[in-house]
Amino acid sequence: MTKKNILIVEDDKDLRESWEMFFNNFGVDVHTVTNGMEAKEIINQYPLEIILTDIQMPLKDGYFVLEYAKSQRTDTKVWACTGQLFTKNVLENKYHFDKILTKPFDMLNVVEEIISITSENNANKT
Amino acid sequence: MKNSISKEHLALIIESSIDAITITNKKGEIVLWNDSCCQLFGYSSEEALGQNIDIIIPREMRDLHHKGMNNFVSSGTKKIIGQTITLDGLRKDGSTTPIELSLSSWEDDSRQMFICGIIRNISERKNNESQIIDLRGIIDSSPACLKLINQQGELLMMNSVGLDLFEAENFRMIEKANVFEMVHEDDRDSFIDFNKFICSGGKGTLIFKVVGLNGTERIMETFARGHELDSGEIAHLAISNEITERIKNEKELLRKDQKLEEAKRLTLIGEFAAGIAHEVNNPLAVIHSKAQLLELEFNKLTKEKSESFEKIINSLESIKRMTIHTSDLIKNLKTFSSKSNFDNLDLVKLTDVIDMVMNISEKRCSSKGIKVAKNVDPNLKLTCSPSALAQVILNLISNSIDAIESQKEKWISIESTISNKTLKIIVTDSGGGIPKEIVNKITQPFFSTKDPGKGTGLGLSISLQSIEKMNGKFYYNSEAENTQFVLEFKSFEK
Repeated sequence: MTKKNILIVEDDKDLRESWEMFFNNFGVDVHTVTNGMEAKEIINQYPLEIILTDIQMPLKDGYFVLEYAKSQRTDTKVWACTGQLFTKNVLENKYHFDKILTKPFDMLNVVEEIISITSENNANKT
Repeated sequence: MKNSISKEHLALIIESSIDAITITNKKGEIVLWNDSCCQLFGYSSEEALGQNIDIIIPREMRDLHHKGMNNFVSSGTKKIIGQTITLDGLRKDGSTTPIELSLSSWEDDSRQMFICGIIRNISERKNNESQIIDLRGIIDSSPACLKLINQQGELLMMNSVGLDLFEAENFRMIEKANVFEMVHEDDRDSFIDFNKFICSGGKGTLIFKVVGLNGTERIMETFARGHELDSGEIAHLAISNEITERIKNEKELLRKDQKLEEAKRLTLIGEFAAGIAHEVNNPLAVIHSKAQLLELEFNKLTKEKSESFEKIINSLESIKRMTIHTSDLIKNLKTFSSKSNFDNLDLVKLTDVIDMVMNISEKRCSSKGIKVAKNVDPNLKLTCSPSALAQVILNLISNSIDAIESQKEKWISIESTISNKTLKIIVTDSGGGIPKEIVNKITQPFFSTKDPGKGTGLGLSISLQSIEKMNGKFYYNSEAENTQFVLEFKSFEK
């Protein structure tokens, strides 16, 4: 199993598990943490290509993850996964997430998409 | 017998008469003046006897009196003899008094003519009459309708205000008319009961609708009580006021109240939806992803697709579908109750909006064998919220798909027309129209004819609200042969 520079920030244990299982299904291992504080450490340690983050989380929320990640590496893509009812426009304009996913969504599709955009880069590394 | 009443008796009778009695000769000289004459005119018999009768005739009447007298004496035409006439009498003190006069004349044995006048003082009666006239005047000038109805509902009296309200030019037009028939049929039974109650001596108030002779409907509020007629029968005496305007205003107020209440309710729904969205969508995301994982794993387990495998996959499909549906419901609730997004409308190409809709719904239509015909002017631009307009059209198409998917002939048509400075976006499907009984309910929130779990019952009510917020109109066209909805906009350009 290859560990990719993908980070999942999600406080819900079940959802975290789902993410891992879907990625594992494609032979991919990802980083998972439960809030923005933990995310900061991973961001510091790895050259992340993409971060999928929940918005409402304890300690540090999804907006913090976005700002911190972009401040460290501008080319890191940050996608929001939210259950809140914001209009997409508000989220995109105010915080410049690269993509907004509203829960519930087709996780299989999302995982396939992420793997397809990260595989090229990774192919070089492995 | 003829001689049984003597001259003395006659004189006594004349003296004691309550009516004034005077006799004159043909020259008009007073030859008899009884006691009542003295009292009525103020002249004693000594003063009156020998005087001309002119003394009791007002100056302005004297010429007329002389003319009549001469005419009478010369021709013998008894124009006023034997009749009772009403005129003014002149008193000694110069004042006048209304009197009633009856005259008779005869000739005595020497062919001498005498005229006898019996005079009644009617000043008191006149006074009473004038009071009655005043009362009439008051009744007629009353701002309320006054009426008297008997037990059978016949109209006995009505003042001019009442006549106006019933659109009758005069009382004769509706005299003895049956009031029951002038009461609107909705209120007729309660009015008949009320009349019965009043005519049995009760009193009370009633609000009812009347229909005038010209068909105008008015709402009346009446205060009534029994009124005993000379015959002893109790009739229904009523003071009624027209309250049509007041009721209209009250209804308008109530409607405004309800609208405000509705707005409050919507705000509450919106807050509620926003509040629970996060709490519900997270677990829904878990359920959805787990169902998807199960599908994935099951697919790995079995290569051959057994019947029970199909059942499992179908069940997982429906779990996924329901999570999306539940999440959509909350999203719809939020959209339904939100005020925003309509403050800044954009001028956009109609085809762009339609294409957005087609992009989303094309696959669903083609997979069910539904043909979609698009006939939209590519140069048309309209002022709208593009996403909201797209949602409305998408909602119509979704409804169409649900309605016609099992039909033999399946098509949906979207077209644009311009007439009378109005842009119409017409969405028609091959369905046979919406049943009359439910047409008025389709835009009510939570009204749905779809199977439980399939529709939220909010689609059309949201659509109506959205289009109205875009200053447009949204309606179902019951005239069309098929099921047809129309969106109308005034603000557009080509």
